[in-house]
Amino acid sequence: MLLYVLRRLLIAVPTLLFIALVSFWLMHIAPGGPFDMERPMPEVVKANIEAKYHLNEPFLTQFFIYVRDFLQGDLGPSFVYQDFTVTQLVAQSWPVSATLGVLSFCISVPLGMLLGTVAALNRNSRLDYFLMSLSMTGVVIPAFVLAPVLVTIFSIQLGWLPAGGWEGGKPIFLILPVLSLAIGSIASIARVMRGAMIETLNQPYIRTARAKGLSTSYLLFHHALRPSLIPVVAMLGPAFVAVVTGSVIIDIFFGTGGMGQHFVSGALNRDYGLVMGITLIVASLTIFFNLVVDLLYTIIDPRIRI
Amino acid sequence: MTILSIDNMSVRFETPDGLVQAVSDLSFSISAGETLGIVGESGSGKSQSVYALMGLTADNGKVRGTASFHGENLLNMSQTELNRIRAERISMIFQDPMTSLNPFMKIGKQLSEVLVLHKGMARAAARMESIRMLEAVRIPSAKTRMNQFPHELSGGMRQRVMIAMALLCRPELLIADEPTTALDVTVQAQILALLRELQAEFSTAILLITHDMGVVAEMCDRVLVMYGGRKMEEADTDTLFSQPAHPYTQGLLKAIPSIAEDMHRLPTIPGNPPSALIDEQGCPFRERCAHSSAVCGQTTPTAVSISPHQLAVCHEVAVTRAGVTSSRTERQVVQEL
Repeated sequence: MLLYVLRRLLIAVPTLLFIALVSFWLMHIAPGGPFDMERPMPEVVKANIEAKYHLNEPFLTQFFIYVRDFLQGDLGPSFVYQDFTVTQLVAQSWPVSATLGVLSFCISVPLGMLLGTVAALNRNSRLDYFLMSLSMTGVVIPAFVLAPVLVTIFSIQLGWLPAGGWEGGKPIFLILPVLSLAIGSIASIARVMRGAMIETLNQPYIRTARAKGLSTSYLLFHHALRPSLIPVVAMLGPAFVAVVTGSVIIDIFFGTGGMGQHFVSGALNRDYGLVMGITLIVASLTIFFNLVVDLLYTIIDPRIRI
Repeated sequence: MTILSIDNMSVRFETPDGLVQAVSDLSFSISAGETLGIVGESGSGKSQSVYALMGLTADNGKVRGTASFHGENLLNMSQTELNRIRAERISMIFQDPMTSLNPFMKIGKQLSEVLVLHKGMARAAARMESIRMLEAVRIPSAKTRMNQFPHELSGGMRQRVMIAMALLCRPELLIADEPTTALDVTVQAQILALLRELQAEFSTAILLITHDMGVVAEMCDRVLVMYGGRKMEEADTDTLFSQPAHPYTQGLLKAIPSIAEDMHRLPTIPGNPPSALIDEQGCPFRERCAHSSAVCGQTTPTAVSISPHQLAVCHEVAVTRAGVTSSRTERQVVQEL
């Protein structure tokens, strides 16, 4: 077990290196650079700047320098936000995204599982159809539609909640962004859970359990829940990473200052350092949570050994 | 003493292709301590009839008729009411031990939860009793097995666990739905022997579903032959093997290979079983029956009592019985198998 985890973490190193190389390369072949202006800057200035950021070096040397600094915990300077290092930008924005993500996760996982189970137990009834239409709506409505609608209702019409801002993470400022993030996940978790639960309830061992005279609630919690968790957990790993690394739309629309906005602004500004930093963070988290999911499998299903 | 008596039970399913009649007008009864076999080919309705008794019919199914268990009709009980009876007074073992135990739960919990639930036992006491029952079904090192998961046991062992689980509350009736079909022949013999011993020990009545005439000959006091969702013949096992009255039973018995004779080709019953979608008048076997006449297609036959020990559901019983040549006796079949 410990050996397995170590091996997986070890394999992660070349994987990350490869991801870094590819994104580094992709950025450099993209036309334009961080210092391209409408008016060309003097040659001397340009040469100075390029020397400062090592842009005058050959590609592989640049990559090598980046990796060397990265290993020392230095994500490098931001090419555009000149007063900040990438580490500072991330340190500033990630806690915001993580707070929103974890909160929305805490809401969407139990609620999605509950709704999915209720729908599965009442399969093909009106309640099932109602819940599934609702969740389909939740899945198809994008956050950039949902967020303005929520703001219109709760901030503008009713005036209950602020329309945006962060204010150090006061609870009242969290509600709308968390809700906008959670609704889509609730809906998709509910759909997966429903399918998994229906599948489980059709298993012969559930028939055995019913023949044993177990009550429905006992049967659900002790016999049916665990097998149904596998597809849900499989989906939650990547979903968790996506949600804690921030959403562009939520960050921009609510002005929360999360990490999501840096994805887009970094790419648009050719901010090499910022894009690399965020890419590597998302990649590391994805690798890590895939490992967590695999470990969870072994806890859920005794037949799975690692 | 009759413990369970079933009258005119029908099971039908609404499917996208139309109504499927799985069981029609089935009537039989079973007495305390007796072993009744239900034989029939796949799709003859034998499993569906016992699922109906246990309230396990799928959601698209409708069950009609009565199944009187000590005066209470099992067929119109709610799931909650049935839960008082399931496992405690009537319990069930299923065909495939590989999938019938919950792979996510330790053997020990799957057993002891029955006692905790039905007998209100404390966990420790339930565990002790479960271990005792595992020992009764001859599972070696029962204590260790309690902490194992089903996939760590062989098929035969799992079926023993199923049997132990079914007998925990000492039920009056044990329904065994093809308990040995998924097992290899040596294990099959062990499981059957075990069932017989436990039956003697706990005086449980057994309703044994099988399509194996050898199992019938070895285990059953009485046999019910089903075809196309209907009862064809019901008789003492001895009578059924020596003087089968229904043409279908006769065909089934002829199809059993014999070691004594040198056979190149087994006799078969020509044709295929009827589609369960068609629910019409007449005998379901008529298309494949050598003795069928015009009346067989017009009216559904009713049970004809041939002796106190035998009844056949056939219009032409008089004709077919005359045609009975020497069938093998129960003992011969057992020996040959």
